[in-house]
Amino acid sequence: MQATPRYLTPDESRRIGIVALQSEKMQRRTQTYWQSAWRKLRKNPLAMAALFALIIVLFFVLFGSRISGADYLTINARERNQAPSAAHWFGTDTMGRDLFCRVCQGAGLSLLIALICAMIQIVVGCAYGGAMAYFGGAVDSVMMRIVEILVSFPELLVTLLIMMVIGKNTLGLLIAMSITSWCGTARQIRGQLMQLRETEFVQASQMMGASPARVILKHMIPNTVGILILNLCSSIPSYIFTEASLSFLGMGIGGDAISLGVLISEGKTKMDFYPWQLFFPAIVLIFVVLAFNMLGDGLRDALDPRME
Amino acid sequence: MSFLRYALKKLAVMLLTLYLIATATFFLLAATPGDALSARVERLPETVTQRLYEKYGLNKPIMERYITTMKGLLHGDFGESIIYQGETVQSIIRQKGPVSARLGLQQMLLGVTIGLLLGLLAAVKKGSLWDYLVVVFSILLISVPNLVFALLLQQVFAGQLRLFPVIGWPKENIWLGGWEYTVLPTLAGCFGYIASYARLLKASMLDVMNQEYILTAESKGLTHREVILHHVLRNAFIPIVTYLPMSLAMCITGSFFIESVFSIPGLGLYYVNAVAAQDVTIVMGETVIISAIYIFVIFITDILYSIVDPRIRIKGGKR
Amino acid sequence: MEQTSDLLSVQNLRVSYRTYAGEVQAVRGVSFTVRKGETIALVGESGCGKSVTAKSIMHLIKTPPGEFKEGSQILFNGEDVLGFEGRRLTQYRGGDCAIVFQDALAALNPTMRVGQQIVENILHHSNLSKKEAKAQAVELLRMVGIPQPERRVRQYPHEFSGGMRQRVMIAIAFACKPRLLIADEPTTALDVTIQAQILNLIHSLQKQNGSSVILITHDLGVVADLADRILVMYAGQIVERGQSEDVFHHPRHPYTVALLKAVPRLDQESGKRLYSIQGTPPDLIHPPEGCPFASRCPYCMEICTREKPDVTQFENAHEAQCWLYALRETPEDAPFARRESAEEGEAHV
Repeated sequence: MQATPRYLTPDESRRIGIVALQSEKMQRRTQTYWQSAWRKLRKNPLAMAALFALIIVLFFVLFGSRISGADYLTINARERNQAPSAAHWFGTDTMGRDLFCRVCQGAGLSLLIALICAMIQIVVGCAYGGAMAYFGGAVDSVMMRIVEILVSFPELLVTLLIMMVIGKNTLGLLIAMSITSWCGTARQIRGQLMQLRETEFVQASQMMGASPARVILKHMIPNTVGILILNLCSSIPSYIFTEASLSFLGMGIGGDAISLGVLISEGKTKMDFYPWQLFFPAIVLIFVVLAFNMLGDGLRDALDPRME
Repeated sequence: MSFLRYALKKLAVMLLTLYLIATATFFLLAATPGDALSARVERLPETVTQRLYEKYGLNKPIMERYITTMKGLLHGDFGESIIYQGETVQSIIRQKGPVSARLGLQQMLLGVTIGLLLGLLAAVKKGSLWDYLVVVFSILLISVPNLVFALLLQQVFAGQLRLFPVIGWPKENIWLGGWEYTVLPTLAGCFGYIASYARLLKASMLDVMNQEYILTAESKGLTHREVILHHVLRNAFIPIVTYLPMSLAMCITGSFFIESVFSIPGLGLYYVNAVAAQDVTIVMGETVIISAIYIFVIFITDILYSIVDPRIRIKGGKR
Repeated sequence: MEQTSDLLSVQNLRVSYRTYAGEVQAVRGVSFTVRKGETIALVGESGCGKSVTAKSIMHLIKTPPGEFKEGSQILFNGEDVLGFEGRRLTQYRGGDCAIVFQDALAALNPTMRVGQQIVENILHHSNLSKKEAKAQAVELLRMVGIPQPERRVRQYPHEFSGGMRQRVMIAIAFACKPRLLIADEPTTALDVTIQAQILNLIHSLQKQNGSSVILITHDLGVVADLADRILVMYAGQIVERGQSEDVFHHPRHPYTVALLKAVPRLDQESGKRLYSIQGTPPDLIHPPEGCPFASRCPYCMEICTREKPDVTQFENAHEAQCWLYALRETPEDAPFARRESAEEGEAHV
């Protein structure tokens, strides 16, 4: 049937048997999970823009007052309620304080509070969720009941009550905002760990004699870090919101400390005459939250192995 | 029947939870430094002060007060407001409840409808410009706090354009009248619903579209529209239906900040003021009632879930 | 039976998927025909492109991420399937051509009553009233051997056992008497005892309706006596094809040989380990230049890693794509030399 029958040379027909076993493939895959997540994230323009924006915000928070050459507390009676200008980029407030510096300062405190709360949420959530998954049985069901009761407490009510008890200061705010927020994380971690324990690859590695430390290090942690990162990204905006709202109601941090919420609340009173006093803190808050949300969205896609 | 036992067990847990919440609230309030009367009695003679403290039972030992309060709760008697004399928790809920409920329901109705439509659009036209716009739009919406929206709307539409009243709420015909007062607060609060429901429906629909039974439906020769209407939407609505009651519970408990911006005499604003003034009886009563609604809705959600998804009626969990 | 009339003709089918990692060439130039009333078995490991081929025939490939490459052609009764649109496409799916998937639990809508899932197929392809369609759905369930069909039509998929669910899938597939049925691993998810029942059911319905069947499986043992012809697929290509007995008793391609050895057999010595093919199939983002099986083939020669083998024809339309059957300058060193007659198979090498 073939047009010109082909004759193989002895060299060509030299038998070489099975060429390569292509082993180590599985290991390569687990290594590339983070690499591929990072690659997917990098290809997402929104997420990268968000990351860049956050770096810029961080830069201004750290060095903002030094750049503008003013500070956030100096009261200047002659420069009250000035419109934005070259000297005062965001204008000045009712007491003549430089608004740009105040916004930088406020954004810093808002971010710091949100970050600390998010860290508390994750640490407590991991410990509690890990304990539930580790002990299992009766301990697990009792701990789970506690979580269920805690989450039935309307969050804002708890926050307000705790603020009343501890007082309107930064410590009170931190405790009030993270008192029930870790419950969700704890549940997620517990679910993930329990699910992982049942998966074939964990059971297989246990059967092959891997130590518990190795199982935790190799399988448990890499498979929960994704959840935690997403948790971090989605809870930071909500902490920023809650802080701003509480401060707005006069239930937030008190004293000289300023956060974006405090600035928005101050700006609101002068909204009709000096709109920029409300505009700048609000826009910075939206900017930061937007960046976190976009980053979180990108991360969700990047960390989802199904999104190939 | 096992379903009845399941429901009864849930009910018991519900009551226990409510009891614990009431207890926690009581002790938190008791632990708060100062009390509601201290400001009021500053300039009053000693004897009057004494009488006032006696009236509200604030001079009794804490455990005795606890027992009195709990007994009252059992009978649905929350006590009298310390700040506003003659007001009881019931009368306040009767006055302020409908205000918050109307605001919340209007926000939800508008927001959920728009959100679901956008989510549907994004899922059906996945990968198109529409999808992209909806994604960006919803991220943008959830990134702007209600509070800022409220201030912005108030400033532009009430302050500058003078289309709507700056603050206030209809005093008569509380459910239907005075719509011009409700427009801005409703708009300000509906954005959150739009964003979250658009994302929820889209994610849920995409999840369903990846299921094999959608392939089966297509292999039967159903048109794209039929597949979406009969197969995708039906399954994609399961998470929506279970999410709705939660939204409902939260919307009735009031949008604190919007009420504050527009000076709307609702439950939320009142609650914040009561907390600030340490009006123990009101805070206690409102907390218990709001929590009760909240917990009850969670309970209803569980029941609803088992009705919507026929799989759960037989065994627990998915599949 | 008309020997010459082809119901389906697939020519040079090439399907790729776009992924982040690159373009996966899932099907790389597959051609075959299915005659009226014939049963074809498409055999291969998971990931070899069987299911993509099946979905292509149903025109179920989503584009994007999937893509039909230039030159791909699928003719159903002379009509260009890949060009079907609108009304013609929806008539073709379910009416002319139906498919049964592997996992019936996943393939049935969990929130829709079983009866409704059959009815919607009937209504779409006929002028029957709703009531008549319902009656027919009951009849279909009875036909596929589901007891008490009147009661069962009102139940949900999760209330059925695995085998019963697959019977429901078959009832849906045969609801409109399709001329071609594609069964994509219909028995893989089932117990061994039920597998035979399901295959026999498909076979008898096929005989009743005069349909053609494409049976997709990874288990050569399952198809030997059901299929008229066997196509063996590997890495998106057909590596061997022929009459069922020829392929089963005289496999030519080392991959087919290995697949046959991997089938568990009752007459196997106890204690002997079941044969398994070493290594993994090639990465279809960068398919190998030579024979795709080279890296796993015990008979691999130097040429195999460099050049794609030609198709060698044997008698009775039996073909294999392998260098072992090429002529050699020095025939004596050939371990697996080409034979002009097929008196002896190579199943035991």
